Amino acid sequence: MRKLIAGIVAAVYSVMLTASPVLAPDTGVTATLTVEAVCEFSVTPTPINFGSTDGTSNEQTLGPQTVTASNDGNTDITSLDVYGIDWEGTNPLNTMDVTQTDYDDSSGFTDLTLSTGTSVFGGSLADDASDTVDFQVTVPADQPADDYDQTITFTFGCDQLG
Amino acid sequence: MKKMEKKVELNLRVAIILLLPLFIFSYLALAGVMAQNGNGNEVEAEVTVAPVATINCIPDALFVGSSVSSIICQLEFTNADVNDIDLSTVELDTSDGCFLPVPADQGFFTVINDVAHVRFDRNTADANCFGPPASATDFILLISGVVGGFPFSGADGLDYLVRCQDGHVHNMLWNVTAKNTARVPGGIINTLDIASFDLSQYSPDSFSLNGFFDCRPSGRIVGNMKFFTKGSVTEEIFRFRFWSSEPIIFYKKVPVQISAVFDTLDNCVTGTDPTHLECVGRGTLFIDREQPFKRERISLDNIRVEINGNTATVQGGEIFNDILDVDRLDVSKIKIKASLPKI
Repeated sequence: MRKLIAGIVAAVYSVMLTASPVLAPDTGVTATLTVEAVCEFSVTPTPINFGSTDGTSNEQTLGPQTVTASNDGNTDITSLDVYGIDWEGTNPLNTMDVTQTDYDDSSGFTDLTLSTGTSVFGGSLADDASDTVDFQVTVPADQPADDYDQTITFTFGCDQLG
Repeated sequence: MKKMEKKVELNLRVAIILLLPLFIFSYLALAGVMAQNGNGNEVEAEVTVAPVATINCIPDALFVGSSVSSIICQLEFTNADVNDIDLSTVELDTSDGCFLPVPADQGFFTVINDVAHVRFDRNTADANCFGPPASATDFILLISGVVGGFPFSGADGLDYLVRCQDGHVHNMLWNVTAKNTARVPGGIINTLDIASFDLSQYSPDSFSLNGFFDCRPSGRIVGNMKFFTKGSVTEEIFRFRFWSSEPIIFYKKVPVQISAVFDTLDNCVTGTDPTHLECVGRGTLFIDREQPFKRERISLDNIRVEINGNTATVQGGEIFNDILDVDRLDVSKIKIKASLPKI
Protein backbone atom coordinates (compact mmCIF):
# COMPACT_ATOMS: atom_id res chain seq x y z
CA MET A 1 0.00 0.00 0.00
CA ARG A 2 1.26 3.43 -0.90
CA LYS A 3 1.55 5.83 2.00
CA LEU A 4 1.66 9.48 1.49
CA ILE A 5 3.17 11.99 3.79
CA ALA A 6 1.24 15.17 3.88
CA GLY A 7 3.01 18.01 2.21
CA ILE A 8 5.52 15.89 0.36
CA VAL A 9 5.29 16.68 -3.29
CA ALA A 10 6.52 14.50 -6.06
CA ALA A 11 10.22 15.05 -6.62
CA VAL A 12 13.62 13.42 -6.50
CA TYR A 13 15.20 13.86 -3.12
CA SER A 14 18.88 13.25 -2.31
CA VAL A 15 20.38 12.77 1.05
CA MET A 16 24.05 12.35 2.02
CA LEU A 17 24.44 9.62 4.52
CA THR A 18 27.66 9.53 6.50
CA ALA A 19 28.72 6.46 8.43
CA SER A 20 30.60 7.08 11.65
CA PRO A 21 34.14 5.70 11.86
CA VAL A 22 33.50 2.70 14.04
CA LEU A 23 33.68 -0.15 11.58
CA ALA A 24 35.36 1.53 8.70
CA PRO A 25 36.94 4.74 7.58
CA ASP A 26 34.58 7.57 6.76
CA THR A 27 32.42 6.50 3.91
CA GLY A 28 29.86 8.70 2.25
CA VAL A 29 26.84 7.17 0.58
CA THR A 30 24.45 9.18 -1.41
CA ALA A 31 20.94 7.81 -1.24
CA THR A 32 18.43 8.95 -3.71
CA LEU A 33 14.78 8.84 -2.80
CA THR A 34 12.11 9.41 -5.33
CA VAL A 35 8.72 10.44 -4.11
CA GLU A 36 6.53 9.17 -6.85
CA ALA A 37 3.92 11.43 -8.29
CA VAL A 38 0.61 10.34 -6.93
CA CYS A 39 -2.40 11.49 -8.80
CA GLU A 40 -5.34 10.82 -6.55
CA PHE A 41 -8.74 12.31 -6.35
CA SER A 42 -11.91 11.75 -4.38
CA VAL A 43 -15.43 13.06 -4.17
CA THR A 44 -17.63 13.06 -1.09
CA PRO A 45 -20.29 12.38 -0.11
CA THR A 46 -21.67 9.52 -2.09
CA PRO A 47 -24.44 8.73 -2.55
CA ILE A 48 -26.18 12.06 -2.91
CA ASN A 49 -29.93 11.91 -2.44
CA PHE A 50 -32.14 14.49 -4.10
CA GLY A 51 -35.18 13.32 -2.15
CA SER A 52 -38.59 12.99 -3.71
CA THR A 53 -40.81 14.99 -6.00
CA ASP A 54 -43.90 16.30 -4.28
CA GLY A 55 -46.53 14.54 -6.40
CA THR A 56 -47.68 17.59 -8.34
CA SER A 57 -47.92 17.45 -12.09
CA ASN A 58 -45.43 20.17 -12.97
CA GLU A 59 -41.87 19.27 -13.78
CA GLN A 60 -39.71 19.75 -10.74
CA THR A 61 -36.10 20.61 -10.12
CA LEU A 62 -34.51 19.05 -7.07
CA GLY A 63 -31.24 20.05 -5.50
CA PRO A 64 -28.67 21.34 -5.45
CA GLN A 65 -26.74 18.57 -3.80
CA THR A 66 -23.14 19.48 -3.21
CA VAL A 67 -20.15 17.20 -3.45
CA THR A 68 -16.60 18.13 -2.56
CA ALA A 69 -13.94 17.21 -5.08
CA SER A 70 -10.49 16.87 -3.49
CA ASN A 71 -7.03 16.46 -4.85
CA ASP A 72 -5.70 13.75 -2.53
CA GLY A 73 -2.43 13.28 -4.39
CA ASN A 74 0.79 15.20 -4.34
CA THR A 75 0.67 16.79 -7.73
CA ASP A 76 -1.60 19.12 -9.57
CA ILE A 77 -4.61 17.71 -11.32
CA THR A 78 -4.57 19.45 -14.66
CA SER A 79 -7.71 18.07 -16.19
CA LEU A 80 -10.92 17.19 -14.54
CA ASP A 81 -13.86 15.82 -16.49
CA VAL A 82 -17.24 14.50 -15.54
CA TYR A 83 -19.78 12.33 -17.27
CA GLY A 84 -22.84 10.34 -16.33
CA ILE A 85 -25.21 7.66 -17.44
CA ASP A 86 -28.97 7.73 -17.82
CA TRP A 87 -31.04 7.54 -14.65
CA GLU A 88 -32.36 4.03 -14.11
CA GLY A 89 -35.47 3.12 -12.18
CA THR A 90 -36.05 -0.03 -10.19
CA ASN A 91 -38.32 -0.99 -13.06
CA PRO A 92 -35.94 -1.46 -16.00
CA LEU A 93 -38.49 0.17 -18.28
CA ASN A 94 -38.22 3.41 -16.36
CA THR A 95 -35.33 5.61 -17.37
CA MET A 96 -34.58 9.30 -17.35
CA ASP A 97 -32.13 10.97 -19.67
CA VAL A 98 -28.68 11.78 -18.33
CA THR A 99 -29.17 15.36 -19.49
CA GLN A 100 -31.78 15.94 -16.80
CA THR A 101 -28.84 16.47 -14.46
CA ASP A 102 -27.11 19.83 -14.35
CA TYR A 103 -23.91 20.64 -12.53
CA ASP A 104 -21.62 23.48 -11.77
CA ASP A 105 -18.87 24.44 -9.43
CA SER A 106 -19.23 26.81 -6.52
CA SER A 107 -19.71 29.81 -8.81
CA GLY A 108 -23.35 28.92 -9.28
CA PHE A 109 -25.33 27.06 -11.88
CA THR A 110 -24.51 28.00 -15.42
CA ASP A 111 -26.51 25.30 -17.11
CA LEU A 112 -23.78 22.80 -17.54
CA THR A 113 -25.60 19.67 -18.54
CA LEU A 114 -24.34 16.25 -17.72
CA SER A 115 -23.90 13.94 -20.67
CA THR A 116 -22.59 10.50 -21.42
CA GLY A 117 -19.51 12.01 -23.02
CA THR A 118 -16.86 13.53 -20.84
CA SER A 119 -16.94 17.25 -20.59
CA VAL A 120 -14.28 19.52 -19.18
CA PHE A 121 -15.38 20.54 -15.79
CA GLY A 122 -13.07 22.85 -14.04
CA GLY A 123 -9.58 22.71 -15.42
CA SER A 124 -6.98 22.26 -12.77
CA LEU A 125 -7.18 21.37 -9.16
CA ALA A 126 -4.00 22.20 -7.33
CA ASP A 127 -2.21 19.83 -5.03
CA ASP A 128 -4.12 19.51 -1.77
CA ALA A 129 -6.89 21.74 -3.09
CA SER A 130 -10.60 20.99 -3.15
CA ASP A 131 -13.63 22.43 -4.84
CA THR A 132 -17.34 21.96 -4.53
CA VAL A 133 -19.60 20.84 -7.32
CA ASP A 134 -23.35 21.34 -7.21
CA PHE A 135 -25.73 18.95 -8.93
CA GLN A 136 -29.42 19.36 -9.56
CA VAL A 137 -31.91 17.17 -11.39
CA THR A 138 -35.01 18.23 -13.30
CA VAL A 139 -37.71 15.58 -13.32
CA PRO A 140 -40.05 15.77 -16.35
CA ALA A 141 -43.75 16.15 -15.60
CA ASP A 142 -44.72 12.71 -16.91
CA GLN A 143 -41.82 10.73 -15.47
CA PRO A 144 -43.06 7.34 -14.18
CA ALA A 145 -43.10 7.04 -10.41
CA ASP A 146 -40.06 5.08 -9.25
CA ASP A 147 -36.76 5.25 -7.39
CA TYR A 148 -34.00 6.28 -9.78
CA ASP A 149 -30.23 5.98 -9.61
CA GLN A 150 -27.54 7.62 -11.67
CA THR A 151 -23.79 7.12 -11.60
CA ILE A 152 -21.75 10.27 -12.09
CA THR A 153 -18.09 9.67 -12.81
CA PHE A 154 -15.20 12.08 -12.50
CA THR A 155 -12.09 11.47 -14.54
CA PHE A 156 -8.89 13.33 -13.87
CA GLY A 157 -5.36 13.61 -15.08
CA CYS A 158 -2.09 14.95 -13.75
CA ASP A 159 0.96 16.42 -15.42
CA GLN A 160 3.65 14.14 -16.65
CA LEU A 161 6.80 14.19 -14.61
CA GLY A 162 10.26 13.26 -15.64
CA MET B 1 25.58 7.76 24.11
CA LYS B 2 28.21 5.92 22.09
CA LYS B 3 26.22 2.75 22.22
CA MET B 4 23.31 4.56 20.69
CA GLU B 5 25.44 5.91 17.87
CA LYS B 6 26.53 2.42 17.03
CA LYS B 7 23.05 1.25 16.84
CA VAL B 8 22.28 4.03 14.42
CA GLU B 9 25.24 3.03 12.27
CA LEU B 10 23.99 -0.52 12.02
CA ASN B 11 20.53 0.59 11.19
CA LEU B 12 21.85 2.84 8.48
CA ARG B 13 23.81 0.01 6.96
CA VAL B 14 20.79 -2.23 7.02
CA ALA B 15 18.63 0.52 5.67
CA ILE B 16 21.00 1.27 2.85
CA ILE B 17 21.27 -2.37 1.89
CA LEU B 18 17.53 -2.85 1.99
CA LEU B 19 16.45 0.40 0.42
CA LEU B 20 19.07 0.79 -2.26
CA PRO B 21 17.37 -1.55 -4.72
CA LEU B 22 14.12 0.31 -4.10
CA PHE B 23 15.83 3.63 -4.71
CA ILE B 24 17.24 2.34 -7.93
CA PHE B 25 13.88 0.94 -8.95
CA SER B 26 12.18 4.20 -8.09
CA TYR B 27 14.73 6.15 -10.00
CA LEU B 28 14.23 4.03 -13.06
CA ALA B 29 10.54 4.33 -12.62
CA LEU B 30 10.79 8.09 -12.36
CA ALA B 31 11.78 8.35 -15.97
CA GLY B 32 8.55 6.66 -16.88
CA VAL B 33 6.21 8.44 -14.58
CA MET B 34 3.36 9.54 -16.68
CA ALA B 35 0.30 11.40 -16.01
CA GLN B 36 -1.86 9.13 -13.97
CA ASN B 37 -5.39 9.15 -15.05
CA GLY B 38 -7.99 8.21 -12.55
CA ASN B 39 -11.37 6.80 -13.23
CA GLY B 40 -13.64 5.39 -10.64
CA ASN B 41 -14.35 8.36 -8.49
CA GLU B 42 -18.03 7.96 -8.77
CA VAL B 43 -20.98 9.62 -7.16
CA GLU B 44 -24.18 7.64 -6.91
CA ALA B 45 -27.15 9.98 -7.23
CA GLU B 46 -30.63 9.01 -6.11
CA VAL B 47 -34.03 10.57 -6.66
CA THR B 48 -37.56 9.39 -6.05
CA VAL B 49 -40.33 10.36 -8.45
CA ALA B 50 -43.62 10.33 -6.58
CA PRO B 51 -46.95 9.36 -8.18
CA VAL B 52 -48.90 12.33 -9.50
CA ALA B 53 -52.51 11.78 -8.52
CA THR B 54 -55.56 13.64 -9.75
CA ILE B 55 -58.53 13.28 -7.44
CA ASN B 56 -62.10 14.14 -8.39
CA CYS B 57 -64.80 13.35 -5.89
CA ILE B 58 -68.48 13.25 -6.82
CA PRO B 59 -70.67 15.00 -5.96
CA ASP B 60 -69.16 18.47 -5.68
CA ALA B 61 -72.04 19.53 -3.47
CA LEU B 62 -73.95 17.40 -1.00
CA PHE B 63 -77.25 18.35 0.60
CA VAL B 64 -78.16 17.34 4.10
CA GLY B 65 -80.85 14.67 3.90
CA SER B 66 -80.54 14.07 0.16
CA SER B 67 -80.83 10.59 -1.36
CA VAL B 68 -77.19 10.50 -2.50
CA SER B 69 -75.84 7.26 -1.05
CA SER B 70 -72.17 7.37 -1.99
CA ILE B 71 -69.23 9.67 -2.32
CA ILE B 72 -67.18 8.39 -5.20
CA CYS B 73 -63.63 9.54 -5.68
CA GLN B 74 -61.96 9.06 -9.02
CA LEU B 75 -58.21 8.59 -8.96
CA GLU B 76 -55.99 9.05 -11.97
CA PHE B 77 -52.24 8.93 -12.20
CA THR B 78 -50.20 10.56 -14.92
CA ASN B 79 -47.16 8.47 -14.04
CA ALA B 80 -48.40 5.31 -12.34
CA ASP B 81 -50.76 2.43 -13.06
CA VAL B 82 -54.04 2.60 -11.13
CA ASN B 83 -54.11 -1.20 -11.15
CA ASP B 84 -51.10 -1.11 -8.85
CA ILE B 85 -53.05 0.65 -6.09
CA ASP B 86 -52.86 -1.21 -2.81
CA LEU B 87 -56.51 -0.93 -1.83
CA SER B 88 -55.78 -1.74 1.81
CA THR B 89 -53.85 1.51 2.08
CA VAL B 90 -56.45 3.83 0.56
CA GLU B 91 -58.29 6.09 2.93
CA LEU B 92 -60.30 9.26 2.90
CA ASP B 93 -59.57 11.95 5.42
CA THR B 94 -60.67 15.50 5.73
CA SER B 95 -58.63 18.51 6.58
CA ASP B 96 -60.40 18.38 9.95
CA GLY B 97 -58.62 15.14 10.72
CA CYS B 98 -61.41 12.61 10.41
CA PHE B 99 -60.71 9.21 8.93
CA LEU B 100 -62.80 7.05 6.63
CA PRO B 101 -61.39 3.73 5.44
CA VAL B 102 -62.35 2.20 2.14
CA PRO B 103 -64.81 -0.66 2.77
CA ALA B 104 -63.17 -4.06 2.43
CA ASP B 105 -65.74 -5.11 -0.17
CA GLN B 106 -63.94 -5.11 -3.53
CA GLY B 107 -67.13 -3.82 -5.13
CA PHE B 108 -66.24 -0.46 -3.68
CA PHE B 109 -63.20 -0.22 -5.88
CA THR B 110 -63.43 -0.34 -9.67
CA VAL B 111 -61.06 0.58 -12.46
CA ILE B 112 -62.65 1.91 -15.65
CA ASN B 113 -60.55 3.28 -18.48
CA ASP B 114 -57.47 3.76 -16.29
CA VAL B 115 -59.48 5.64 -13.70
CA ALA B 116 -59.91 4.08 -10.28
CA HIS B 117 -63.23 4.71 -8.58
CA VAL B 118 -63.30 4.41 -4.83
CA ARG B 119 -66.77 4.41 -3.32
CA PHE B 120 -67.26 5.67 0.21
CA ASP B 121 -70.56 5.08 1.96
CA ARG B 122 -72.32 8.38 2.54
CA ASN B 123 -73.86 7.35 5.87
CA THR B 124 -70.48 6.27 7.24
CA ALA B 125 -68.90 9.45 5.95
CA ASP B 126 -71.64 11.48 7.66
CA ALA B 127 -71.13 9.63 10.93
CA ASN B 128 -67.32 9.72 10.86
CA CYS B 129 -66.52 12.96 9.12
CA PHE B 130 -69.28 15.35 8.27
CA GLY B 131 -71.71 15.34 11.12
CA PRO B 132 -73.71 16.12 8.98
CA PRO B 133 -73.08 19.83 9.49
CA ALA B 134 -75.66 22.19 10.95
CA SER B 135 -74.70 24.92 8.49
CA ALA B 136 -73.08 25.07 5.07
CA THR B 137 -69.51 23.81 5.36
CA ASP B 138 -66.69 23.37 2.88
CA PHE B 139 -64.74 20.19 3.46
CA ILE B 140 -61.43 19.25 1.92
CA LEU B 141 -61.39 15.57 1.09
CA LEU B 142 -57.95 14.04 1.23
CA ILE B 143 -57.38 10.73 -0.50
CA SER B 144 -54.15 8.91 0.22
CA GLY B 145 -52.70 5.49 -0.31
CA VAL B 146 -49.90 3.56 -1.94
CA VAL B 147 -49.53 2.77 -5.64
CA GLY B 148 -46.71 0.59 -6.90
CA GLY B 149 -45.01 0.89 -3.54
CA PHE B 150 -45.03 4.69 -3.53
CA PRO B 151 -47.31 6.87 -1.40
CA PHE B 152 -49.71 9.21 -3.13
CA SER B 153 -52.20 11.81 -2.00
CA GLY B 154 -54.64 14.22 -3.52
CA ALA B 155 -57.41 16.55 -2.49
CA ASP B 156 -60.79 17.72 -3.66
CA GLY B 157 -63.42 19.96 -2.18
CA LEU B 158 -66.91 19.09 -1.02
CA ASP B 159 -69.54 21.74 -0.34
CA TYR B 160 -71.95 20.42 2.26
CA LEU B 161 -75.17 22.42 2.03
CA VAL B 162 -77.98 22.49 4.52
CA ARG B 163 -80.54 24.40 2.52
CA CYS B 164 -80.90 24.88 -1.20
CA GLN B 165 -81.04 28.65 -0.78
CA ASP B 166 -77.38 28.73 0.15
CA GLY B 167 -76.30 31.07 -2.62
CA HIS B 168 -77.59 28.85 -5.40
CA VAL B 169 -80.22 29.03 -8.11
CA HIS B 170 -83.63 28.80 -6.54
CA ASN B 171 -85.47 26.94 -9.27
CA MET B 172 -84.75 25.88 -12.79
CA LEU B 173 -86.41 24.35 -15.82
CA TRP B 174 -84.44 23.10 -18.81
CA ASN B 175 -85.09 21.30 -22.05
CA VAL B 176 -82.94 20.44 -25.07
CA THR B 177 -82.97 18.00 -27.97
CA ALA B 178 -80.06 17.47 -30.30
CA LYS B 179 -80.30 15.62 -33.60
CA ASN B 180 -77.58 13.12 -34.23
CA THR B 181 -76.05 13.39 -37.70
CA ALA B 182 -72.96 11.93 -39.25
CA ARG B 183 -71.49 15.42 -39.36
CA VAL B 184 -72.46 16.60 -35.90
CA PRO B 185 -73.11 14.01 -33.22
CA GLY B 186 -75.70 14.99 -30.66
CA GLY B 187 -73.78 13.07 -28.05
CA ILE B 188 -71.36 10.19 -27.57
CA ILE B 189 -72.39 7.01 -25.76
CA ASN B 190 -69.16 5.65 -24.33
CA THR B 191 -70.72 2.94 -22.22
CA LEU B 192 -74.04 1.13 -22.12
CA ASP B 193 -73.13 -2.01 -20.27
CA ILE B 194 -76.26 -4.13 -20.50
CA ALA B 195 -75.81 -7.79 -21.41
CA SER B 196 -78.81 -7.84 -23.73
CA PHE B 197 -77.79 -4.70 -25.60
CA ASP B 198 -75.07 -4.44 -28.22
CA LEU B 199 -74.04 -0.81 -28.19
CA SER B 200 -72.01 -1.23 -31.37
CA GLN B 201 -75.24 -1.92 -33.27
CA TYR B 202 -77.02 1.16 -31.97
CA SER B 203 -77.48 4.18 -34.22
CA PRO B 204 -78.85 7.17 -32.28
CA ASP B 205 -81.15 9.60 -34.09
CA SER B 206 -81.43 12.14 -31.28
CA PHE B 207 -80.56 12.95 -27.69
CA SER B 208 -82.74 14.85 -25.24
CA LEU B 209 -82.34 16.18 -21.77
CA ASN B 210 -85.05 17.86 -19.76
CA GLY B 211 -85.90 18.44 -16.16
CA PHE B 212 -86.69 20.83 -13.40
CA PHE B 213 -86.04 21.43 -9.75
CA ASP B 214 -87.52 23.74 -7.21
CA CYS B 215 -86.37 24.84 -3.81
CA ARG B 216 -89.17 24.32 -1.31
CA PRO B 217 -89.68 26.57 1.74
CA SER B 218 -88.23 23.77 3.87
CA GLY B 219 -84.93 24.25 2.08
CA ARG B 220 -85.07 20.90 0.30
CA ILE B 221 -84.93 20.43 -3.44
CA VAL B 222 -87.58 18.51 -5.36
CA GLY B 223 -87.57 17.87 -9.06
CA ASN B 224 -87.11 15.40 -11.86
CA MET B 225 -84.85 14.89 -14.80
CA LYS B 226 -84.85 12.62 -17.80
CA PHE B 227 -82.25 11.81 -20.41
CA PHE B 228 -83.27 9.86 -23.45
CA THR B 229 -81.97 8.91 -26.82
CA LYS B 230 -83.97 7.54 -29.71
CA GLY B 231 -82.51 5.40 -32.43
CA SER B 232 -82.40 1.90 -33.79
CA VAL B 233 -80.51 -1.32 -33.36
CA THR B 234 -79.54 -3.38 -36.37
CA GLU B 235 -80.60 -6.99 -35.80
CA GLU B 236 -80.08 -10.03 -37.97
CA ILE B 237 -83.32 -11.59 -39.23
CA PHE B 238 -82.08 -14.66 -41.07
CA ARG B 239 -79.31 -16.04 -43.28
CA PHE B 240 -79.57 -17.62 -46.64
CA ARG B 241 -76.87 -19.68 -48.29
CA PHE B 242 -76.66 -21.15 -51.81
CA TRP B 243 -74.77 -24.39 -51.34
CA SER B 244 -71.20 -23.41 -50.50
CA SER B 245 -71.46 -19.72 -51.30
CA GLU B 246 -71.04 -16.97 -48.73
CA PRO B 247 -74.22 -16.53 -46.66
CA ILE B 248 -76.58 -13.70 -47.44
CA ILE B 249 -77.68 -12.03 -44.21
CA PHE B 250 -80.85 -10.05 -43.84
CA TYR B 251 -81.07 -7.35 -41.22
CA LYS B 252 -83.77 -5.13 -39.87
CA LYS B 253 -83.63 -1.95 -37.89
CA VAL B 254 -85.44 -2.16 -34.58
CA PRO B 255 -86.45 1.19 -33.03
CA VAL B 256 -85.04 1.63 -29.55
CA GLN B 257 -85.39 4.29 -26.91
CA ILE B 258 -82.97 4.47 -24.01
CA SER B 259 -83.82 6.66 -21.07
CA ALA B 260 -82.31 7.40 -17.69
CA VAL B 261 -84.41 9.11 -15.06
CA PHE B 262 -83.83 10.33 -11.56
CA ASP B 263 -85.98 8.52 -9.00
CA THR B 264 -85.38 11.39 -6.65
CA LEU B 265 -83.82 14.65 -7.68
CA ASP B 266 -82.89 16.28 -4.42
CA ASN B 267 -79.19 17.00 -4.82
CA CYS B 268 -78.85 19.61 -7.55
CA VAL B 269 -76.56 22.57 -7.52
CA THR B 270 -75.99 25.31 -10.08
CA GLY B 271 -74.31 28.08 -8.19
CA THR B 272 -75.33 31.41 -9.67
CA ASP B 273 -74.79 30.32 -13.27
CA PRO B 274 -77.56 28.05 -14.64
CA THR B 275 -75.36 26.87 -17.53
CA HIS B 276 -73.34 24.92 -14.98
CA LEU B 277 -75.42 22.32 -13.19
CA GLU B 278 -74.72 19.07 -11.40
CA CYS B 279 -77.46 16.75 -10.19
CA VAL B 280 -76.71 13.52 -8.37
CA GLY B 281 -79.05 10.88 -7.02
CA ARG B 282 -80.55 7.45 -7.53
CA GLY B 283 -82.16 6.53 -10.81
CA THR B 284 -83.41 3.96 -13.28
CA LEU B 285 -82.36 3.06 -16.78
CA PHE B 286 -84.97 1.94 -19.29
CA ILE B 287 -84.39 0.30 -22.65
CA ASP B 288 -87.54 0.13 -24.75
CA ARG B 289 -87.52 -1.91 -27.92
CA GLU B 290 -90.40 -1.75 -30.32
CA GLN B 291 -91.73 -4.53 -32.58
CA PRO B 292 -92.39 -6.38 -30.39
CA PHE B 293 -92.47 -4.03 -27.45
CA LYS B 294 -90.03 -5.04 -24.76
CA ARG B 295 -88.91 -2.96 -21.80
CA GLU B 296 -85.85 -3.59 -19.67
CA ARG B 297 -85.40 -1.80 -16.39
CA ILE B 298 -82.07 -1.45 -14.60
CA SER B 299 -81.68 0.23 -11.25
CA LEU B 300 -78.89 2.83 -10.99
CA ASP B 301 -77.49 3.23 -7.49
CA ASN B 302 -75.96 6.47 -8.65
CA ILE B 303 -76.93 8.76 -11.47
CA ARG B 304 -75.31 12.03 -12.32
CA VAL B 305 -76.01 14.74 -14.88
CA GLU B 306 -73.65 17.61 -15.37
CA ILE B 307 -74.32 20.54 -17.69
CA ASN B 308 -71.23 22.54 -18.38
CA GLY B 309 -71.69 25.30 -20.90
CA ASN B 310 -72.62 23.80 -24.27
CA THR B 311 -72.13 20.15 -23.38
CA ALA B 312 -73.54 17.76 -20.83
CA THR B 313 -72.56 14.44 -19.30
CA VAL B 314 -74.92 11.70 -18.14
CA GLN B 315 -73.57 8.84 -16.05
CA GLY B 316 -75.11 6.01 -14.07
CA GLY B 317 -74.40 2.70 -12.42
CA GLU B 318 -73.13 1.19 -9.19
CA ILE B 319 -70.55 3.88 -9.50
CA PHE B 320 -71.28 6.80 -11.75
CA ASN B 321 -70.23 5.55 -15.17
CA ASP B 322 -70.01 1.76 -15.15
CA ILE B 323 -73.44 1.13 -16.75
CA LEU B 324 -74.17 4.34 -18.62
CA ASP B 325 -71.70 6.97 -19.74
CA VAL B 326 -72.75 9.64 -22.23
CA ASP B 327 -70.69 12.73 -22.82
CA ARG B 328 -70.38 15.60 -25.27
CA LEU B 329 -74.14 15.86 -25.22
CA ASP B 330 -74.96 18.92 -27.28
CA VAL B 331 -76.93 21.33 -25.12
CA SER B 332 -76.00 24.47 -27.03
CA LYS B 333 -79.69 25.07 -27.74
CA ILE B 334 -80.83 24.40 -24.21
CA LYS B 335 -83.76 26.43 -22.94
CA ILE B 336 -83.40 27.39 -19.33
CA LYS B 337 -85.61 29.23 -16.95
CA ALA B 338 -83.97 29.90 -13.65
CA SER B 339 -84.21 32.26 -10.76
CA LEU B 340 -81.95 33.10 -7.89
CA PRO B 341 -83.16 32.77 -4.32
CA LYS B 342 -85.54 35.37 -3.03
CA ILE B 343 -83.95 37.37 -0.29
